[in-house]
Amino acid sequence: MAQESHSVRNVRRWIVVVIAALVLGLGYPLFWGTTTIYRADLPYEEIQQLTTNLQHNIQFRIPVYLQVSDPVPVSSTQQAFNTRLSYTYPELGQLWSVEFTTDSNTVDSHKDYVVIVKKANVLEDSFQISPYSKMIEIFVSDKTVADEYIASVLVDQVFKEEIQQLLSLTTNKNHDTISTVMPYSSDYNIVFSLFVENGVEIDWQIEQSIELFTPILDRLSHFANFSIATQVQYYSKLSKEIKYNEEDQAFVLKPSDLTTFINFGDWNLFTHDINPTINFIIFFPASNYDNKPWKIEGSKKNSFLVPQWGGVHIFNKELPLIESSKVTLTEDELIPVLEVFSSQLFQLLGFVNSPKSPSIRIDTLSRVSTYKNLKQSLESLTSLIKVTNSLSEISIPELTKEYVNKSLDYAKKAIEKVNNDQDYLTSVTYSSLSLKNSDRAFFEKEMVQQAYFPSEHKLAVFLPLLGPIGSIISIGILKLISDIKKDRSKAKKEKSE
Amino acid sequence: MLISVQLWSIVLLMGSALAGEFYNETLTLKPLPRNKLLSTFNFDINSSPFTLQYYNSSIDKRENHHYTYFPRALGPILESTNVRELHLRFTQGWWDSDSWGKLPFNGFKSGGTGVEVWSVIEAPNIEIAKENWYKLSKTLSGFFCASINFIDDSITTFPKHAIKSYNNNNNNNRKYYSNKSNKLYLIRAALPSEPICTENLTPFLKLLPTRGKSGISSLLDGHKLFDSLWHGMSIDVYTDCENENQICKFKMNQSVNHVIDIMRSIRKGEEGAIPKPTPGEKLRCDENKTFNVWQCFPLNDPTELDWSLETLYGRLINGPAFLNDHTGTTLKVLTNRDYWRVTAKQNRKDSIVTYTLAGEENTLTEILHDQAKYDFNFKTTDSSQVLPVEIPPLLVSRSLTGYSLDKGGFRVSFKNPSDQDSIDFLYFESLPWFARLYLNTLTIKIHNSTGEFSGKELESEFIKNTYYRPAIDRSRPSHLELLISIPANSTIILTYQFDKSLLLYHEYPPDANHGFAVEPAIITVLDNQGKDIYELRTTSLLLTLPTPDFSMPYNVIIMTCTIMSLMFGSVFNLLTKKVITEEELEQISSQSKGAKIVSIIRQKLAGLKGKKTAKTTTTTTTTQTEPTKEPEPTEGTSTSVQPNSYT
Repeated sequence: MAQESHSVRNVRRWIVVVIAALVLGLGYPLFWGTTTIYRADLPYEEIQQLTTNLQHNIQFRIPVYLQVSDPVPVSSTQQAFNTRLSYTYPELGQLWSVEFTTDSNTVDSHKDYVVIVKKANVLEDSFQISPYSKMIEIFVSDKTVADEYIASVLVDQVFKEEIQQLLSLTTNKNHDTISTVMPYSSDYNIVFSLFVENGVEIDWQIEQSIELFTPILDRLSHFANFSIATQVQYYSKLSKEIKYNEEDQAFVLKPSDLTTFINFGDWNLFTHDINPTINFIIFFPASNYDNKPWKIEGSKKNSFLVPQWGGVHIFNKELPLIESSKVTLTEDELIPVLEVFSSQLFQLLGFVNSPKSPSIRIDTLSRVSTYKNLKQSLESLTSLIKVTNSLSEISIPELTKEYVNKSLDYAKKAIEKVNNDQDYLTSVTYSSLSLKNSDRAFFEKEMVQQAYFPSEHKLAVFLPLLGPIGSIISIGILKLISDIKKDRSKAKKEKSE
Repeated sequence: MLISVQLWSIVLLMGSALAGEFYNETLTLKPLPRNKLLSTFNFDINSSPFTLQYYNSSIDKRENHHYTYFPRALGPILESTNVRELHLRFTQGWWDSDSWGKLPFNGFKSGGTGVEVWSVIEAPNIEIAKENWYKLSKTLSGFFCASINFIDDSITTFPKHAIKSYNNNNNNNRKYYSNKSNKLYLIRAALPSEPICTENLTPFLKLLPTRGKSGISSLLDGHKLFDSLWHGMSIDVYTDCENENQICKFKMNQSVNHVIDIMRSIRKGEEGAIPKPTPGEKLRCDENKTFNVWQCFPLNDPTELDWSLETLYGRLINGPAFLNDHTGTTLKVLTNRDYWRVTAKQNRKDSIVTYTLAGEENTLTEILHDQAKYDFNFKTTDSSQVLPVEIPPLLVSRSLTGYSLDKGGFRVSFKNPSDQDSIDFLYFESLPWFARLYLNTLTIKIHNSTGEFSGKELESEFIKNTYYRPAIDRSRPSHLELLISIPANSTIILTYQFDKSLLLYHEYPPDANHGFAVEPAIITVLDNQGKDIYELRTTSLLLTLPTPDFSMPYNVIIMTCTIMSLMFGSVFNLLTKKVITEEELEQISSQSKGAKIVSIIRQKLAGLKGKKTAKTTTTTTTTQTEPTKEPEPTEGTSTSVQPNSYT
């Protein structure tokens, strides 16, 4: 048998090696490159770092101006306050504190907190929080203990609810007051609806009455924008019939009835808007025409709050009505109802109950919301990372990355605003933008949609190509190796011989 | 004193504000020939006045909006997309012009088959207008549970002349845009394959201030309404502004029109939804023809009828729309009073009141103002005696021509039934991009009492004006508008050809072999001054496109892969292995380890078999010996013997 020449055999061996190298070096990247899913690089470490250190990164240092008749060093007050704060709330850490400054006389008490200490001949030390501005007046008999008293007033009165809310946020406790609060948005719709039980037309002077809300909403305009709409709906029956209670001479709504009071299916309540809607409903029962009132058990103002949704008031007309004539709800009748709604609005937006001063309330709310938004935004970014890490087949589009980066940028800006300028209204806007972008990143359409080409599918389609080629090449390589081994052993034998 | 004056001024202000708001509803019933009934529900709603504002996301202070009758569900949608006019049509079925005559409302409230949307949008440029249009279509889609969200560039048109905005058609130059630098864009799209059903009716009713709970809308029930020969729902909203200042109102009109087959409704009421064979004694046979137990030539439907609204709708009218409004709800019957008697029946809490409707000439009118359940009974001695059929000014039919999968054509015939007047009309057609229209193939043929004529020169004679915007693949439909003048008592036939194109794999719908609906063409008949007087639509058409086998891509991939690996395998082996002859192979294989093992096994097997073969060989030898004993030779001998033995 004619043995092949050595060079030909070498060429054949080289061919096997070159083809194997080509398939591995060119084919595999090509296959990988054409069938792989795009996964943008997300800033994993940055998000984790921000999430774990949020409580330490953000530092609320609320400037408080001290006005004392004769100048005393601020440091003693500061020290007294710090001791008091760390004693009462040791978990708070560096997150929240107050910085005392002496008054430079140019302070606007609507913008900044001002503590005025007055010496008075009173038996007991007392204080007064202005209902309009951020001014706190303190009356003390003895100046030596004034520091202690100022600290206790601030910690236990002025900022009590704020600190508690912040603490419940940091410790992830689901506080009752927080669950009634609407999720934060920079725009809200407020809808006042008059739901009439029967089909007798009613005029309501809502256009004039609503003016009551304008100053309130104007003051909130830094916090969020509100757009108001009103509507009247007739033939709005309850989903459940309410029985007449002879004892009370009224239709009585029990607390258990309130959960099913709103007939979501039938009443026109939907809004095709991305922004959350706060609903205020005035229900006008048909029994008004029989002069039979409705009562809500345990409610003086005949109204109740629906958490994260809105408020309801049941309207009882005082005078008996005639069915054939058009009824008018006058401004005088509506104003008390709208006052109830305005306090419900504060509750729904998450304002603290005390102190009553609106500027303090808004200030407090913006700090709490800033922290809450940042926390939520980082939480959703963290869960985004979890999702992308656990699903290796999910695609991460460039847009998601963009939104993540934007969200992080805004979060950093918000933190910066708080730490450097203590500018809470700007920081709440930034934090809400961060939240919005983190939601967008998470719900990016291309990412959420199912992987179009799962890897099993990919393999199944290309198996007719990959299978034979792979097996041919691997067999070729095996043969090559065995040939080389054989040659070597032969060469050895020849040598030894 | 001062307070009282202020109060008075507030009351006055309220009064003036309320004067603008308005709700009115009318139900018109018109018996048609051959026991059909056209019923028209019409609802008019005016919103309270508001200041027109151009909405964009940067606006911080928004107007407060008050909705009394106008639905709040629709208001914010219109506001946020800067829609100044919105028209929606949901239609299904075929209007028989020959026997039913003119369309209700002269066709202005009837759409083509499927869903049709057009609106006027205020925007600084066309891009923003489109953006708002898609936003609008998405929200409307959610609201009406229809696939309006499928509207995209490829079916959106900007009609030039055929469809007019409310303002243009009424020749009033009231401007209803808030910003002088903005323009108004009229945008239209149609979805001809959209089915219309109950889930579209429910949101329609929710737009009404009565929400279908009282007034004439309480009759509307999806099962009965959509069980009709032809039905259409329409919603028209337009902004009506006072001159100069921007105090505007939304005026909304909603209507439901449908043609009921009375006999069918009566039969359904008696027998239920599943039809049963008529028993022998109930058969109505023509006694002038052969008529016995076995044979029966059926008569036409009976003409002496007695039916009520409850027979048709299965419900009663639940009082007026509003209990204290005494003029808001009206019922009208248009029929020949000599043959028809209409009685109203009021089911009150404690009594039933019955009375016959009165009216002038051929119109019976009843205003519903009592808190009672109303039913209206129709009794006739001859149901064929109805108001004379009004012949529509133009009869149009459109059909597809051609049979191949790569090209096709349209044939549209217009017939002017009038004996004296020639008619001008606008023909609007929007074809999907995958039907590539060739306008040069347009031919015109006229057919009148003197004969039939055709030729290119006729084109300029009858087609007075042409507007054509060719299609762009996947991003624009072809858009054709023709102003045609048709002489009295003649028929014009237009034909034009198109090529069908192949779609991309993912562009085919799930039921691609069903065909692709081509939206109805719109014909607007004009009067001497160029005003619209009648509008009609052709039927939609079903276009079959060449449709691939959808498993094809996978087959191709797998087939190619297999061939490639086969080729690769053989080339690879040729390159890496030496070619040898068969003898060489045998030689090599006999030397190889495997061959040695095989030979050893063989030898061993042979050793084992050695004893057995001794037996088998004997048997074989015996069997081999046997054939020698076989009778052939003996037979041969016998045959050779036989003749001998005879001899």
